[in-house]
Amino acid sequence: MNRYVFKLKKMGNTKYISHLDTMRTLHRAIRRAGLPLTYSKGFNPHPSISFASPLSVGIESFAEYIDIEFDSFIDKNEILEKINFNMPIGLEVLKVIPINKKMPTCMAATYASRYEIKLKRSQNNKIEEAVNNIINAKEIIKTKKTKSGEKSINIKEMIFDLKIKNIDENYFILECIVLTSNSGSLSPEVIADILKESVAIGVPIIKRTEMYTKVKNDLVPLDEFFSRM
Amino acid sequence: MINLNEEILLKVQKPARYVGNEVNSVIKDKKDKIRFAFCFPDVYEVGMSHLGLKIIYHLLNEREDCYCERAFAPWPDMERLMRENDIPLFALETKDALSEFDFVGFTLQYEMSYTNIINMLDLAHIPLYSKDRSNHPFVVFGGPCAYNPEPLADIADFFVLGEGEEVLNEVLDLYSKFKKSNASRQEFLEKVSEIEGIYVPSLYEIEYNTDGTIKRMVPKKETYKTNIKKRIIKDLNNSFYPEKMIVPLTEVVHDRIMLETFRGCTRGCRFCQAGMIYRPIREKKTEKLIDLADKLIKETGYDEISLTSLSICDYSDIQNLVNKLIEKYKESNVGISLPSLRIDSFSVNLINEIQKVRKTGLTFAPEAGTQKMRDVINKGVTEEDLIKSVRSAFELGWNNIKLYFMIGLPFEEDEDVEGIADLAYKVVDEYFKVPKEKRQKGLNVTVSTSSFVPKPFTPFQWFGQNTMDELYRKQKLLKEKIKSRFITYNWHETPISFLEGVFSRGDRRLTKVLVKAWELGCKFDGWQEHFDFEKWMKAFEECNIDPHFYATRERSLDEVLPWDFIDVGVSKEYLINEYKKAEKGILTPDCRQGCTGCGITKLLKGGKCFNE
Repeated sequence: MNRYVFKLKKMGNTKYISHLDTMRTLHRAIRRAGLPLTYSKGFNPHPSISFASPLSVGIESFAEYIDIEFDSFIDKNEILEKINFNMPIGLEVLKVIPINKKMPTCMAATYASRYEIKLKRSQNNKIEEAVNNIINAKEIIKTKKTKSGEKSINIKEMIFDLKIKNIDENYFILECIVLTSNSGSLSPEVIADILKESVAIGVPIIKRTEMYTKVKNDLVPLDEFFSRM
Repeated sequence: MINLNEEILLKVQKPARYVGNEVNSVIKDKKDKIRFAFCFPDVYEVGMSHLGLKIIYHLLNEREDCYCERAFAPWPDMERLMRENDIPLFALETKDALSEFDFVGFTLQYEMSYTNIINMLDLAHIPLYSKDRSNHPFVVFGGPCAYNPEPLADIADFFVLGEGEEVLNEVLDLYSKFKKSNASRQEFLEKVSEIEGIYVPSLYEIEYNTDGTIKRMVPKKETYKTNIKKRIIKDLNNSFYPEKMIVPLTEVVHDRIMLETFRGCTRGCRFCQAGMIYRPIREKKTEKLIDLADKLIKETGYDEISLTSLSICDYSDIQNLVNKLIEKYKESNVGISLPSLRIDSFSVNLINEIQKVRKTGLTFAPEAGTQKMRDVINKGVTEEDLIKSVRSAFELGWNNIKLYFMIGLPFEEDEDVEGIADLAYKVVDEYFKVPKEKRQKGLNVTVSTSSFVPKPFTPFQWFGQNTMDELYRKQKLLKEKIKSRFITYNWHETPISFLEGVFSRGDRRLTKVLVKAWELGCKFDGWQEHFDFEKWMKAFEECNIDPHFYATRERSLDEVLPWDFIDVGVSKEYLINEYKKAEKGILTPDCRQGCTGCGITKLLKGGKCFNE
């Protein structure tokens, strides 16, 4: 068993492919590339491919992390070349990191994601005000529907960073770092929805730009984390 | 090129339907190409499951002078946004509007997709009627429903009858000369009508009798041919088959490699249009199929191959083919699947070898409940065959059996309908005869009935379809007979079958009904949630057309039928004889056991029927 972490870019029209379809597409690309993908044993063998955190339809990403296992060891550059030759336009493996057996999975390691949210600029002062309201709030309580009824959660605790990154003639770009973990995640769409309550922002265009793990009190990008070990 | 931005795509369900960019989709420079839009009048996931689309798409793109792209019916949420934002119907590859193409070709798989064709033409800003087109694309129709082209006669510029691989190339060869000349649209249509297999409906007029039946079809010029022969690929083994087959990025209905093993069927079931129109039988050789499978697996990355044909267990080397594929791919996790099963123990054993994994449902199609009826339809299976097969299925661990039947067949009596329930009970009894330790717990027998729709070019093409009331009565009769908790009964919606019956044997006068129904809002009629029978009835009423004239009226054997001018190879005498034999319950043997004289050999120019 040889473990690898892939860092994948999902751009352009491939952002409209769902999480499951992205898995299938990557699986088939690996098969076309002739790479020795490991399958689970048993009656219904499953490919050993698992994503750190599913991405909603419509969100682009520069940083999808995936655990993959191969039956034999292959040089990372060879993997990169073969896989990218077989990917549809828009999907590209940026990095292949061989990791050892004892490392956590991407899913277990993930703690936060960074997103860029691009909003149409119409009444920009109001947007700044609305963003600042979120930044300065002590808590933001939202009700979430669960199986056992409704639950109040403080989403402010799930936002680690929020700032205005860039303003140009037509757009207003926010950057945020939010919780993405096994114990809970915050979708950047929730932040856009809060802004929508007070300003007209059009359809938010969202990109995931990085994913992090937590080492002591620091957020470390997953590729850095896995390369270090 | 239209602008398909986030403002639109983030607001619709499944935006991947509209973006293209699939693996093995063809990207070409569109400059100076003949541009062909292959259109499927249903949603993306259905259209991309269609083998014919993949063959024609890749075949046309083999030509350097042609760029074939695809278009599908947008789901109503997308259609609404397209209309609101003035976005015309576009092709997935270049996102260019369909109106910029040379040809817009639709495949006719199902009568209930006709309103979607009209809707797609409208969305593409292409005039609905061929007479109103000038510098617009040529609108072409092909596929199984084109064998009765008349309900779409006023919409089509021309029809392609039979297998398209060769004839489409001939059409494009002609068109490339036409494009360089100063010839008119009409001149092209006259010229293209000379190609065998091409039917240009505007070159003919129909005269009617006072009772509404057809008197005759009159060519507008003496030189126009009066008999249109379907096209047949003689050497299927060596005919074009795509190896770099397109792989969708979003899950489609049949999301696997489709490996076509043969065309045609020798069984001769009398209700089955496919069994008649796809004659003669032509197989691909085992070595060829293994070679194709290998290339397709490498080029697509799929991990499942479906062996396709009309009746897969009739492939003459099926056991060997399946064994070889299993042997070859057992290490690389490629599954094999068979789409349809005949009722015999051989088939059950074969599927058992393939489906080592999960024993999900097993489907059998006895088609009718009594031996009398199975003889009427020439099904050629007995109750003993079925009972033996289900017994081996139960012994091998299946516990979920589906049984498909038709009601409303010719010469059917109430006891034949009740026979369906009796047969289902016998299947249940057989399960309990298998020793407890050998059978899987939790028996479930599902009985499904569809309502028989008579189709052109079958021995039942003269038969008056059962009225809806009669079908409801028969469904009720059967429902009351089925009381077992082990049996579930499902039935197909009767109004849809009725409309299918109208259009499958309709004539030219129905085009205006289609357009009217579409104007009233009908589309996606094959989808239960969109089907609106009342609107359809209103359309008939407003057009002053009686649908029963087409669906439920028994034709006399000497009536001129709307599709009589088409030669599918199977002769009318043969069909009449089969209808008479049906009434008496006389079987016609499988033609592998000896020629039954259907007439197809005439179309083969001295060729033999079997390619052995």
